[in-house]
Amino acid sequence: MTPFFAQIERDLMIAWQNRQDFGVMLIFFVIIIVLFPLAIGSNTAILDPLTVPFIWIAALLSILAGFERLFAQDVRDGWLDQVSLSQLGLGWYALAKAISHWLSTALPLLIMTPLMAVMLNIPSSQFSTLLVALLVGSMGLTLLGVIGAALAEGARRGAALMALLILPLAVPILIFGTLASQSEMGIINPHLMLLCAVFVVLLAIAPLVAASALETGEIESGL
Amino acid sequence: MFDYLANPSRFMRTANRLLLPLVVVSSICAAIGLYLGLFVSPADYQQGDTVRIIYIHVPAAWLALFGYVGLGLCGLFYIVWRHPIADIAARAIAPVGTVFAFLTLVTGALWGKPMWGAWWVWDARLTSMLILFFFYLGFLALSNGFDQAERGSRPAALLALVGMINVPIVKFSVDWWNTLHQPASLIRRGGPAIDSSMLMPLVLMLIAAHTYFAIIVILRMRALLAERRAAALMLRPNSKPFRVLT
Repeated sequence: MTPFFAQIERDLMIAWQNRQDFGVMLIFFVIIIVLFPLAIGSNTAILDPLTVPFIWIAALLSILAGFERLFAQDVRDGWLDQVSLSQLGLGWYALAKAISHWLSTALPLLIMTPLMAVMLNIPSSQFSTLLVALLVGSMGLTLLGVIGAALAEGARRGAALMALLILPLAVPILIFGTLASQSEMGIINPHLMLLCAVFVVLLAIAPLVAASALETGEIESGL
Repeated sequence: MFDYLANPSRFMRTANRLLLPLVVVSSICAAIGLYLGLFVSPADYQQGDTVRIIYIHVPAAWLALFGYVGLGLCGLFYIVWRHPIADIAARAIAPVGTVFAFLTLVTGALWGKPMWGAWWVWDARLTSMLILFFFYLGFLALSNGFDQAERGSRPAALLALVGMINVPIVKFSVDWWNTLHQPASLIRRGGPAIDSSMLMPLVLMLIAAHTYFAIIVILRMRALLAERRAAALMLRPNSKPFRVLT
Protein backbone atom coordinates (compact mmCIF):
# COMPACT_ATOMS: atom_id res chain seq x y z
CA MET A 1 0.00 0.00 0.00
CA THR A 2 1.33 3.41 -0.87
CA PRO A 3 1.95 5.92 1.93
CA PHE A 4 -0.90 8.06 0.61
CA PHE A 5 -3.52 5.37 1.15
CA ALA A 6 -1.87 4.32 4.39
CA GLN A 7 -2.34 7.86 5.65
CA ILE A 8 -6.02 7.82 4.67
CA GLU A 9 -6.53 4.45 6.31
CA ARG A 10 -4.84 5.61 9.50
CA ASP A 11 -7.01 8.71 9.75
CA LEU A 12 -10.17 6.74 9.05
CA MET A 13 -9.24 4.30 11.79
CA ILE A 14 -8.69 7.15 14.23
CA ALA A 15 -12.01 8.66 13.17
CA TRP A 16 -13.73 5.32 13.76
CA GLN A 17 -12.21 5.05 17.23
CA ASN A 18 -13.61 8.50 18.03
CA ARG A 19 -16.92 7.86 16.32
CA GLN A 20 -18.97 9.67 18.93
CA ASP A 21 -17.34 12.85 17.55
CA PHE A 22 -19.09 12.70 14.24
CA GLY A 23 -22.29 11.73 16.02
CA VAL A 24 -22.00 15.10 17.74
CA MET A 25 -21.42 16.77 14.38
CA LEU A 26 -24.48 15.14 12.83
CA ILE A 27 -26.63 16.25 15.75
CA PHE A 28 -25.20 19.75 15.33
CA PHE A 29 -26.24 19.67 11.65
CA VAL A 30 -29.76 18.47 12.50
CA ILE A 31 -30.21 20.99 15.30
CA ILE A 32 -29.23 23.97 13.15
CA ILE A 33 -31.80 22.89 10.54
CA VAL A 34 -34.46 22.45 13.22
CA LEU A 35 -33.72 25.89 14.66
CA PHE A 36 -34.55 27.73 11.43
CA PRO A 37 -38.26 26.77 11.26
CA LEU A 38 -38.53 27.38 14.99
CA ALA A 39 -37.22 30.90 14.52
CA ILE A 40 -39.23 31.68 11.39
CA GLY A 41 -42.50 29.97 12.24
CA SER A 42 -44.38 27.21 10.52
CA ASN A 43 -45.94 29.32 7.75
CA THR A 44 -45.10 27.21 4.70
CA ALA A 45 -45.41 30.17 2.31
CA ILE A 46 -42.42 31.80 4.03
CA LEU A 47 -40.63 28.61 4.96
CA ASP A 48 -40.64 26.64 1.70
CA PRO A 49 -38.45 28.94 -0.43
CA LEU A 50 -35.87 29.02 2.40
CA THR A 51 -35.41 25.33 3.05
CA VAL A 52 -32.56 24.67 0.61
CA PRO A 53 -30.56 27.66 1.92
CA PHE A 54 -31.11 26.29 5.47
CA ILE A 55 -29.58 22.99 4.53
CA TRP A 56 -26.63 24.76 2.91
CA ILE A 57 -25.97 27.02 5.90
CA ALA A 58 -26.25 24.07 8.27
CA ALA A 59 -23.90 21.97 6.11
CA LEU A 60 -21.41 24.84 5.81
CA LEU A 61 -21.32 25.46 9.56
CA SER A 62 -21.13 21.84 10.61
CA ILE A 63 -18.46 20.93 8.04
CA LEU A 64 -16.27 23.89 8.97
CA ALA A 65 -16.85 23.36 12.70
CA GLY A 66 -15.16 19.98 12.44
CA PHE A 67 -11.81 21.35 11.31
CA GLU A 68 -10.37 23.05 14.32
CA ARG A 69 -8.17 20.21 15.53
CA LEU A 70 -7.42 18.62 12.15
CA PHE A 71 -3.64 18.84 12.42
CA ALA A 72 -3.26 19.47 16.16
CA GLN A 73 -2.84 15.84 17.20
CA ASP A 74 -0.38 15.13 14.38
CA VAL A 75 1.74 18.13 15.33
CA ARG A 76 1.73 17.21 19.01
CA ASP A 77 2.66 13.55 18.73
CA GLY A 78 5.33 14.10 16.09
CA TRP A 79 3.45 12.42 13.24
CA LEU A 80 3.78 15.55 11.11
CA ASP A 81 7.57 15.50 11.48
CA GLN A 82 7.61 11.86 10.41
CA VAL A 83 5.45 12.70 7.40
CA SER A 84 7.69 15.55 6.30
CA LEU A 85 10.70 13.23 6.48
CA SER A 86 8.89 10.47 4.61
CA GLN A 87 8.40 10.07 0.89
CA LEU A 88 4.75 11.11 1.23
CA GLY A 89 5.33 14.89 1.25
CA LEU A 90 3.19 17.45 2.99
CA GLY A 91 1.00 18.22 -0.03
CA TRP A 92 -0.14 14.63 -0.44
CA TYR A 93 -0.47 14.37 3.31
CA ALA A 94 -2.85 17.38 3.29
CA LEU A 95 -4.86 15.84 0.44
CA ALA A 96 -5.08 12.52 2.29
CA LYS A 97 -6.28 14.40 5.36
CA ALA A 98 -8.95 16.12 3.25
CA ILE A 99 -10.17 12.82 1.82
CA SER A 100 -10.35 11.01 5.14
CA HIS A 101 -11.98 13.99 6.79
CA TRP A 102 -14.57 14.24 4.03
CA LEU A 103 -15.33 10.51 4.30
CA SER A 104 -15.70 10.61 8.06
CA THR A 105 -17.65 13.86 8.47
CA ALA A 106 -19.23 15.17 5.27
CA LEU A 107 -20.38 11.81 3.95
CA PRO A 108 -22.58 10.97 6.99
CA LEU A 109 -23.99 14.46 6.67
CA LEU A 110 -24.88 13.85 3.02
CA ILE A 111 -26.55 10.58 3.97
CA MET A 112 -28.56 12.46 6.57
CA THR A 113 -29.62 15.17 4.11
CA PRO A 114 -32.57 13.35 2.42
CA LEU A 115 -34.13 12.85 5.83
CA MET A 116 -33.77 16.54 6.57
CA ALA A 117 -35.16 17.36 3.13
CA VAL A 118 -38.25 15.29 3.90
CA MET A 119 -38.70 17.09 7.21
CA LEU A 120 -38.43 20.44 5.43
CA ASN A 121 -40.97 19.49 2.79
CA ILE A 122 -38.58 19.77 -0.14
CA PRO A 123 -40.18 18.09 -3.21
CA SER A 124 -38.63 14.69 -3.82
CA SER A 125 -37.96 15.58 -7.46
CA GLN A 126 -35.41 18.08 -6.19
CA PHE A 127 -33.52 15.64 -3.94
CA SER A 128 -31.01 14.49 -6.55
CA THR A 129 -30.20 18.06 -7.63
CA LEU A 130 -29.68 19.08 -4.01
CA LEU A 131 -27.56 16.05 -3.20
CA VAL A 132 -25.26 16.38 -6.21
CA ALA A 133 -24.69 20.07 -5.51
CA LEU A 134 -24.12 19.33 -1.84
CA LEU A 135 -21.69 16.54 -2.75
CA VAL A 136 -19.49 18.89 -4.80
CA GLY A 137 -19.95 21.75 -2.34
CA SER A 138 -19.01 19.65 0.68
CA MET A 139 -15.81 18.52 -1.05
CA GLY A 140 -14.96 22.17 -1.77
CA LEU A 141 -15.71 23.18 1.81
CA THR A 142 -13.55 20.34 3.09
CA LEU A 143 -10.60 21.62 1.03
CA LEU A 144 -11.19 25.13 2.37
CA GLY A 145 -11.27 23.71 5.87
CA VAL A 146 -7.89 22.06 5.28
CA ILE A 147 -6.46 25.43 4.21
CA GLY A 148 -7.92 27.12 7.28
CA ALA A 149 -6.80 24.42 9.71
CA ALA A 150 -3.26 24.49 8.30
CA LEU A 151 -3.03 28.29 8.43
CA ALA A 152 -4.43 28.54 11.95
CA GLU A 153 -2.49 25.56 13.34
CA GLY A 154 -0.78 26.58 16.56
CA ALA A 155 -2.56 29.92 16.81
CA ARG A 156 -4.38 31.19 19.86
CA ARG A 157 -8.19 30.97 19.59
CA GLY A 158 -7.85 28.65 16.61
CA ALA A 159 -11.56 27.99 16.09
CA ALA A 160 -12.72 31.60 15.91
CA LEU A 161 -9.71 32.49 13.78
CA MET A 162 -10.47 29.67 11.36
CA ALA A 163 -14.05 30.87 10.93
CA LEU A 164 -12.78 34.35 10.14
CA LEU A 165 -10.33 33.01 7.54
CA ILE A 166 -12.58 30.49 5.87
CA LEU A 167 -16.07 31.99 5.80
CA PRO A 168 -15.17 34.77 3.32
CA LEU A 169 -13.59 32.15 1.06
CA ALA A 170 -16.69 29.97 1.32
CA VAL A 171 -18.91 32.64 -0.24
CA PRO A 172 -18.61 31.42 -3.87
CA ILE A 173 -19.40 27.85 -2.81
CA LEU A 174 -22.45 29.03 -0.88
CA ILE A 175 -23.73 31.20 -3.75
CA PHE A 176 -23.24 28.68 -6.55
CA GLY A 177 -24.26 25.78 -4.30
CA THR A 178 -27.63 27.20 -3.33
CA LEU A 179 -28.32 28.29 -6.92
CA ALA A 180 -27.35 24.85 -8.26
CA SER A 181 -29.54 23.06 -5.69
CA GLN A 182 -32.60 25.06 -6.66
CA SER A 183 -32.03 25.08 -10.40
CA GLU A 184 -34.99 24.24 -12.61
CA MET A 185 -32.66 22.90 -15.28
CA GLY A 186 -32.05 19.52 -13.68
CA ILE A 187 -29.02 18.00 -12.02
CA ILE A 188 -26.41 19.25 -14.48
CA ASN A 189 -26.95 22.99 -14.59
CA PRO A 190 -24.66 25.98 -15.18
CA HIS A 191 -24.42 26.79 -11.48
CA LEU A 192 -23.30 23.26 -10.73
CA MET A 193 -20.57 23.64 -13.34
CA LEU A 194 -19.37 26.86 -11.70
CA LEU A 195 -19.44 25.05 -8.36
CA CYS A 196 -17.32 22.28 -9.90
CA ALA A 197 -14.92 24.92 -11.25
CA VAL A 198 -14.50 26.36 -7.74
CA PHE A 199 -13.90 22.85 -6.43
CA VAL A 200 -11.25 22.10 -9.07
CA VAL A 201 -9.40 25.34 -8.30
CA LEU A 202 -9.46 24.48 -4.61
CA LEU A 203 -8.28 20.95 -5.34
CA ALA A 204 -5.26 22.42 -7.09
CA ILE A 205 -4.30 25.05 -4.52
CA ALA A 206 -5.46 23.67 -1.15
CA PRO A 207 -2.80 20.93 -0.74
CA LEU A 208 -0.05 23.37 -1.77
CA VAL A 209 -1.19 26.13 0.57
CA ALA A 210 -1.68 23.68 3.44
CA ALA A 211 1.74 22.12 2.85
CA SER A 212 3.40 25.52 2.77
CA ALA A 213 1.67 26.58 5.99
CA LEU A 214 2.47 23.32 7.78
CA GLU A 215 6.13 23.66 6.86
CA THR A 216 6.39 26.59 9.30
CA GLY A 217 4.96 24.53 12.09
CA GLU A 218 7.44 21.83 11.33
CA ILE A 219 10.37 24.25 11.36
CA GLU A 220 9.21 25.78 14.63
CA SER A 221 8.73 22.48 16.42
CA GLY A 222 12.11 21.33 15.13
CA LEU A 223 13.94 24.22 16.77
CA MET B 1 17.90 47.77 -7.06
CA PHE B 2 16.17 44.98 -5.13
CA ASP B 3 19.49 43.82 -3.72
CA TYR B 4 20.28 47.34 -2.58
CA LEU B 5 16.90 47.80 -0.88
CA ALA B 6 16.88 44.32 0.65
CA ASN B 7 18.98 45.61 3.52
CA PRO B 8 16.54 46.96 6.14
CA SER B 9 18.59 49.99 7.15
CA ARG B 10 19.28 51.00 3.54
CA PHE B 11 15.60 50.49 2.77
CA MET B 12 14.59 52.72 5.63
CA ARG B 13 17.16 55.37 4.66
CA THR B 14 15.68 55.51 1.17
CA ALA B 15 12.14 55.55 2.52
CA ASN B 16 12.96 58.31 4.99
CA ARG B 17 14.37 60.44 2.20
CA LEU B 18 11.01 60.08 0.41
CA LEU B 19 9.05 61.01 3.50
CA LEU B 20 9.33 64.81 3.36
CA PRO B 21 8.41 65.18 -0.36
CA LEU B 22 5.48 62.82 0.22
CA VAL B 23 4.22 64.89 3.14
CA VAL B 24 4.49 68.09 1.08
CA VAL B 25 2.70 66.62 -1.95
CA SER B 26 0.03 64.97 0.18
CA SER B 27 -0.85 68.03 2.22
CA ILE B 28 -0.89 70.39 -0.77
CA CYS B 29 -3.07 68.03 -2.84
CA ALA B 30 -5.41 67.37 0.08
CA ALA B 31 -5.80 71.09 0.82
CA ILE B 32 -6.52 72.08 -2.79
CA GLY B 33 -8.57 68.94 -3.47
CA LEU B 34 -10.78 69.38 -0.41
CA TYR B 35 -11.28 73.08 -1.13
CA LEU B 36 -12.20 72.44 -4.79
CA GLY B 37 -14.30 69.43 -3.89
CA LEU B 38 -16.28 70.94 -1.05
CA PHE B 39 -16.64 74.58 -2.17
CA VAL B 40 -15.79 75.12 -5.84
CA SER B 41 -17.05 72.04 -7.70
CA PRO B 42 -20.74 72.20 -8.61
CA ALA B 43 -23.42 70.05 -7.00
CA ASP B 44 -24.63 67.24 -9.20
CA TYR B 45 -27.89 67.93 -11.06
CA GLN B 46 -29.42 64.71 -9.71
CA GLN B 47 -27.53 63.97 -6.54
CA GLY B 48 -27.13 67.47 -5.16
CA ASP B 49 -24.42 67.95 -2.56
CA THR B 50 -24.22 64.26 -1.64
CA VAL B 51 -22.05 63.81 -4.74
CA ARG B 52 -19.20 65.32 -2.72
CA ILE B 53 -18.86 62.05 -0.79
CA ILE B 54 -17.16 60.74 -3.93
CA TYR B 55 -14.00 62.74 -3.07
CA ILE B 56 -13.50 60.50 -0.03
CA HIS B 57 -15.22 57.33 -1.22
CA VAL B 58 -13.32 56.78 -4.46
CA PRO B 59 -9.79 57.36 -3.05
CA ALA B 60 -10.61 55.13 -0.08
CA ALA B 61 -11.89 52.36 -2.35
CA TRP B 62 -8.84 52.58 -4.60
CA LEU B 63 -6.52 52.37 -1.62
CA ALA B 64 -8.40 49.46 -0.08
CA LEU B 65 -7.84 47.50 -3.29
CA PHE B 66 -4.34 48.83 -3.92
CA GLY B 67 -3.41 48.01 -0.32
CA TYR B 68 -4.59 44.45 -0.75
CA VAL B 69 -2.54 44.09 -3.94
CA GLY B 70 0.42 45.33 -1.91
CA LEU B 71 -0.37 42.80 0.78
CA GLY B 72 -0.50 40.00 -1.80
CA LEU B 73 2.82 41.09 -3.36
CA CYS B 74 4.44 41.21 0.07
CA GLY B 75 3.04 37.73 0.69
CA LEU B 76 4.59 36.50 -2.54
CA PHE B 77 7.96 38.08 -1.71
CA TYR B 78 7.83 36.62 1.78
CA ILE B 79 6.96 33.10 0.62
CA VAL B 80 9.48 33.02 -2.22
CA TRP B 81 12.47 34.91 -0.76
CA ARG B 82 11.55 34.75 2.93
CA HIS B 83 12.55 38.35 3.20
CA PRO B 84 11.78 40.01 6.56
CA ILE B 85 11.17 43.41 4.90
CA ALA B 86 8.22 41.90 3.01
CA ASP B 87 6.72 40.71 6.28
CA ILE B 88 7.25 44.13 7.91
CA ALA B 89 5.69 45.86 4.90
CA ALA B 90 2.66 43.54 4.95
CA ARG B 91 2.13 44.14 8.66
CA ALA B 92 2.46 47.87 8.06
CA ILE B 93 -0.01 47.88 5.15
CA ALA B 94 -2.73 45.65 6.64
CA PRO B 95 -4.27 47.95 9.29
CA VAL B 96 -4.12 50.95 6.92
CA GLY B 97 -5.88 49.00 4.18
CA THR B 98 -8.46 47.78 6.69
CA VAL B 99 -9.28 51.34 7.68
CA PHE B 100 -9.63 52.40 4.03
CA ALA B 101 -11.89 49.42 3.29
CA PHE B 102 -14.01 50.36 6.29
CA LEU B 103 -14.14 54.00 5.14
CA THR B 104 -15.25 52.86 1.70
CA LEU B 105 -18.11 50.86 3.17
CA VAL B 106 -19.19 53.64 5.55
CA THR B 107 -19.04 56.47 3.00
CA GLY B 108 -20.83 54.22 0.52
CA ALA B 109 -23.59 53.58 3.04
CA LEU B 110 -23.89 57.29 3.82
CA TRP B 111 -24.27 57.98 0.11
CA GLY B 112 -26.56 55.02 -0.49
CA LYS B 113 -29.19 56.04 2.05
CA PRO B 114 -30.25 59.29 0.31
CA MET B 115 -29.55 58.02 -3.25
CA TRP B 116 -30.69 54.42 -3.27
CA GLY B 117 -32.97 54.65 -0.24
CA ALA B 118 -31.02 51.98 1.65
CA TRP B 119 -27.85 51.92 3.71
CA TRP B 120 -26.89 48.64 2.19
CA VAL B 121 -27.91 46.61 -0.85
CA TRP B 122 -26.65 43.10 -1.67
CA ASP B 123 -25.01 44.21 -4.86
CA ALA B 124 -21.92 42.50 -6.29
CA ARG B 125 -19.59 45.47 -5.77
CA LEU B 126 -20.70 46.07 -2.18
CA THR B 127 -20.59 42.42 -1.23
CA SER B 128 -17.16 41.81 -2.73
CA MET B 129 -15.85 44.92 -0.96
CA LEU B 130 -17.25 43.63 2.33
CA ILE B 131 -15.47 40.34 1.72
CA LEU B 132 -12.24 42.23 1.02
CA PHE B 133 -12.71 43.90 4.41
CA PHE B 134 -13.11 40.45 6.02
CA PHE B 135 -9.91 39.28 4.30
CA TYR B 136 -8.09 42.24 5.82
CA LEU B 137 -9.48 41.33 9.24
CA GLY B 138 -8.47 37.70 8.72
CA PHE B 139 -4.94 38.79 7.81
CA LEU B 140 -4.71 40.97 10.93
CA ALA B 141 -6.04 38.21 13.17
CA LEU B 142 -3.80 35.54 11.67
CA SER B 143 -0.59 37.58 11.61
CA ASN B 144 -1.08 38.48 15.29
CA GLY B 145 -2.67 35.19 16.31
CA PHE B 146 0.46 33.40 17.48
CA ASP B 147 2.39 33.67 20.71
CA GLN B 148 5.59 34.27 18.75
CA ALA B 149 4.77 37.15 16.39
CA GLU B 150 7.03 35.90 13.57
CA ARG B 151 5.32 32.53 13.57
CA GLY B 152 2.21 34.18 12.06
CA SER B 153 4.06 35.73 9.12
CA ARG B 154 4.03 32.76 6.81
CA PRO B 155 0.37 31.70 7.28
CA ALA B 156 -0.68 35.35 6.93
CA ALA B 157 1.36 35.70 3.73
CA LEU B 158 -0.33 32.58 2.33
CA LEU B 159 -3.74 33.95 3.28
CA ALA B 160 -2.94 37.26 1.55
CA LEU B 161 -2.00 35.33 -1.60
CA VAL B 162 -5.18 33.22 -1.54
CA GLY B 163 -7.24 36.36 -0.92
CA MET B 164 -5.85 37.93 -4.10
CA ILE B 165 -8.56 35.97 -5.92
CA ASN B 166 -11.02 38.55 -4.63
CA VAL B 167 -9.20 41.61 -6.03
CA PRO B 168 -10.24 41.22 -9.69
CA ILE B 169 -13.74 40.29 -8.50
CA VAL B 170 -14.06 43.61 -6.66
CA LYS B 171 -12.57 45.55 -9.57
CA PHE B 172 -14.64 44.00 -12.33
CA SER B 173 -17.82 43.19 -10.41
CA VAL B 174 -19.47 46.28 -11.88
CA ASP B 175 -18.68 45.08 -15.41
CA TRP B 176 -19.41 41.38 -14.96
CA TRP B 177 -22.72 41.72 -13.19
CA ASN B 178 -25.46 44.21 -13.82
CA THR B 179 -25.14 46.02 -10.52
CA LEU B 180 -26.77 48.94 -8.78
CA HIS B 181 -23.32 50.39 -8.14
CA GLN B 182 -22.29 52.55 -11.10
CA PRO B 183 -19.62 51.20 -13.45
CA ALA B 184 -16.07 52.53 -13.58
CA SER B 185 -16.01 56.16 -14.68
CA LEU B 186 -12.35 57.15 -14.29
CA ILE B 187 -10.19 54.53 -15.94
CA ARG B 188 -12.18 53.24 -18.87
CA ARG B 189 -12.08 53.14 -22.64
CA GLY B 190 -12.84 56.58 -24.07
CA GLY B 191 -11.45 58.54 -21.12
CA PRO B 192 -13.04 59.61 -17.83
CA ALA B 193 -16.80 60.10 -17.86
CA ILE B 194 -16.72 62.91 -15.30
CA ASP B 195 -16.83 66.63 -15.97
CA SER B 196 -13.47 68.36 -15.42
CA SER B 197 -14.89 70.50 -12.58
CA MET B 198 -15.39 67.30 -10.60
CA LEU B 199 -12.51 65.35 -12.10
CA MET B 200 -9.89 67.84 -10.93
CA PRO B 201 -10.63 67.63 -7.17
CA LEU B 202 -11.09 63.87 -7.47
CA VAL B 203 -7.66 63.38 -9.05
CA LEU B 204 -6.09 65.67 -6.44
CA MET B 205 -7.74 63.70 -3.64
CA LEU B 206 -6.53 60.45 -5.22
CA ILE B 207 -2.95 61.75 -5.25
CA ALA B 208 -3.32 63.00 -1.67
CA ALA B 209 -4.72 59.67 -0.48
CA HIS B 210 -2.02 57.60 -2.18
CA THR B 211 0.81 59.71 -0.82
CA TYR B 212 -0.86 59.67 2.61
CA PHE B 213 -0.99 55.87 2.40
CA ALA B 214 2.73 55.77 1.57
CA ILE B 215 3.57 58.09 4.47
CA ILE B 216 1.64 56.04 7.01
CA VAL B 217 3.11 52.77 5.72
CA ILE B 218 6.67 54.14 5.93
CA LEU B 219 6.07 55.41 9.48
CA ARG B 220 4.56 52.10 10.53
CA MET B 221 7.41 50.14 8.96
CA ARG B 222 9.88 52.33 10.81
CA ALA B 223 8.11 51.61 14.10
CA LEU B 224 7.86 47.87 13.42
CA LEU B 225 11.55 47.63 12.49
CA ALA B 226 12.54 49.52 15.62
CA GLU B 227 10.29 47.23 17.67
CA ARG B 228 11.92 44.11 16.25
CA ARG B 229 15.37 45.51 16.81
CA ALA B 230 14.51 46.43 20.37
CA ALA B 231 13.14 42.94 20.98
CA ALA B 232 16.30 41.37 19.51
CA LEU B 233 18.52 43.58 21.65
CA MET B 234 16.56 42.75 24.78
CA LEU B 235 17.34 39.08 24.23
CA ARG B 236 21.09 39.72 24.19
CA PRO B 237 22.61 39.67 27.70
CA ASN B 238 25.43 42.15 27.05
CA SER B 239 23.84 44.17 24.33
CA LYS B 240 25.65 47.07 22.70
CA PRO B 241 24.29 50.55 23.36
CA PHE B 242 20.84 50.83 21.91
CA ARG B 243 20.74 52.39 18.46
CA VAL B 244 17.30 52.97 16.98
CA LEU B 245 17.10 51.90 13.38
CA THR B 246 15.70 54.79 11.42
